[in-house]
Amino acid sequence: MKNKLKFLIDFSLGRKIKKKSFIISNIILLVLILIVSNLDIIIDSFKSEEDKSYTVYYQADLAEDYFASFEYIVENSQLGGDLNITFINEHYEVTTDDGNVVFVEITNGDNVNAKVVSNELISTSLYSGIYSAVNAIKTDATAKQLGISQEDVAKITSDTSIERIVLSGDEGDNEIQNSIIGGLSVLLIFPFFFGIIMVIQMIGLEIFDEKSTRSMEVIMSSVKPKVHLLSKIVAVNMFAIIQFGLIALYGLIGVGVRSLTNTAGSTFSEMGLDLKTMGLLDNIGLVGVFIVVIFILTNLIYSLVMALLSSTANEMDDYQKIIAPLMITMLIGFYTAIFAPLLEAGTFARVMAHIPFFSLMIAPSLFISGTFTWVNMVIIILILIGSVIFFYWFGLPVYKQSVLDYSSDKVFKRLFRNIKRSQR
Amino acid sequence: MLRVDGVSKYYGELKAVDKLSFEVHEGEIFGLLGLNGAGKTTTFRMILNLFSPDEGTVFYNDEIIGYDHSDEIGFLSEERSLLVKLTVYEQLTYYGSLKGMNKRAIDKAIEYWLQRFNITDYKHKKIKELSKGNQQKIQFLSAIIHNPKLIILDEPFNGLDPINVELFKEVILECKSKGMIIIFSSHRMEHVEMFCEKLVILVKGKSILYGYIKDIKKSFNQQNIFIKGDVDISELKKIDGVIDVLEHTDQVEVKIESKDYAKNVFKYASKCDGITLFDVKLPSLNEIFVDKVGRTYEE
Repeated sequence: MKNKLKFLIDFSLGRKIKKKSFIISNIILLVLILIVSNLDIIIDSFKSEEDKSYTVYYQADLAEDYFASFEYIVENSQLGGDLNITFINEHYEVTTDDGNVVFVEITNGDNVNAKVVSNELISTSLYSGIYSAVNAIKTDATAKQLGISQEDVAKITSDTSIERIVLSGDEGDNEIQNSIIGGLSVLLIFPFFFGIIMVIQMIGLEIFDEKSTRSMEVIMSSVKPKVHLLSKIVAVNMFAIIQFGLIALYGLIGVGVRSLTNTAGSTFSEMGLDLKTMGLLDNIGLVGVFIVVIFILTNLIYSLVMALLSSTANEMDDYQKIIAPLMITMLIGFYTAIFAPLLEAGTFARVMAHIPFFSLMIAPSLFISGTFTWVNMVIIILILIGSVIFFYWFGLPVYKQSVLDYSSDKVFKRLFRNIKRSQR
Repeated sequence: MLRVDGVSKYYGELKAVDKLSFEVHEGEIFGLLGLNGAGKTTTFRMILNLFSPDEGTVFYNDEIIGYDHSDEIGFLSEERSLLVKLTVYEQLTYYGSLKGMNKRAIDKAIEYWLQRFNITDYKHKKIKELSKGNQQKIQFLSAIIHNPKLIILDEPFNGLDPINVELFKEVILECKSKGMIIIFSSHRMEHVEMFCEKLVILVKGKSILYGYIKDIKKSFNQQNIFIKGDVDISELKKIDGVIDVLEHTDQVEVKIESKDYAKNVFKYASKCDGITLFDVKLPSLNEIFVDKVGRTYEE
């Protein structure tokens, strides 16, 4: 039977990997990931050298000229920073024949105002530089007009420093932190959610395919239902691991290609630094372990339930009806996870995190935010292990009954009848 | 030897098979007959170990049948049971591997059987691209590729033309000569009569007739007389012991209650002109089946 299990896994996995659709979709994925991770470089590569050259005319009606400051700030505050800019300190009338020419005029009336004139839209990077420079000049000019120091202006215009005190002492109730965790949770959930959807759909369709073609009698007369069921779950999960591994590899290739341009990962590094500062990455290793363990167990539960349900279907119509409750359950979990930050780690979220079908979507974010300790996580893992054992113990006899049931009753009637029969 | 010993199977309140018993020995072809819903498929499933009987036991070589014997059993189901997206080679490899064969043995068997069934060109074609008849050939090959010792053939001639029926017959008889136990089910009584030495007829899960066909025929009183010549059908019908008279193209068939009444018919025929044939025959299996099953249903 061990050899048959191995054969069934190899056969099922081989069929998926050797499919043309798998190869084509992976080539497309690799190309897409390479494009997305290097999008700005690709766009830049389409720009001609002429596009990267600008002439900026500057005129200011201020007590001080500020031309040197303007030039310095524009040059140093560009995003990307590879534009070739010529600065000229004089008035210029922009015409419709002009190409990459910009005229910046700063005037001093009731307030310091600025005007930026060009024939066409200019580079976003250049505009952001001009914007920064104009604002810096305005701050300094205004300070001098009012006779106050730069430091005083900075005091007026800088962000207010807020010391956050929570009397309940709940460390998890930091609003900014929670909103970051919310975003992080959604980011974490997406791949797992779609991973489970992909896995259970494949399991369901494989079983349905064998049943609807009536091959099941021949197969089940050769291998035990347990072996058949395990082979489906293992093969499909191995396929999913291979597919996700490939996607990760494509991502690394994309980052690798980007790093050759020496601009890779700066945003990610900054984000990582922010998360680290907030202490959210302190338990990253433990969080990773919990997520992987909970994902594996949740995936097993969904896989077992899906196998049980799909074994009842004789026709595509049956299949769609019978998997609907499972899909709805997954969607509930998904939306609960998205809205979990709004639930403010309340009782609802805490309870949902302990329900096996939803644990994966909710428990990790509660752990990251500090609402759950490792003890809570261990309890959740134990509940999940118990659920896997229950669904296997309960589901296998039902599966055995259902895969060979070709009666014409309604699909849910068939399911409940097989549950009843399997309990004898 | 396969021994089905008093097996019963319930589906809720319905008794699908009721205390069924029979034995099949090596080199025997056994007919399992019955109308649709008589319990044949349930019986097959119990032999295949897909279901456990609620009562009784199925023995194979004096051991309770189980997954340990699955590699020695081949099954051709009445329904098409092929994975239509696979190629012929993949399908046969799949079923061969499930029966414990190694790749080398499978490849060798595939070469042999595809050649024997004249379908070598279809080796890498998808099942769904094949004709009905060729799909049936692949299904048949899936059941015998591993050289089983016990084969269950449920309506094996479905979708076959007369030439391929002959090819199948040849292979089935070859399997029999190799000492395989063959269980055969068909609604075509002439096929059953041609192959089987022994049979059981099921009605509503119960065995109503079981034994060797020759003994069953002998024990069935009704006989048929075939006459060629100028006979008057209305006169024949008046003869004592005559149940019915059927008119065929060039002869008449007189059904009599038992062979004791043959002499009455002969007495009449001898008086008629142009008699070239007077032949008393045992009833066909089809007649026995219709008579027994019809009577049981009426009861």
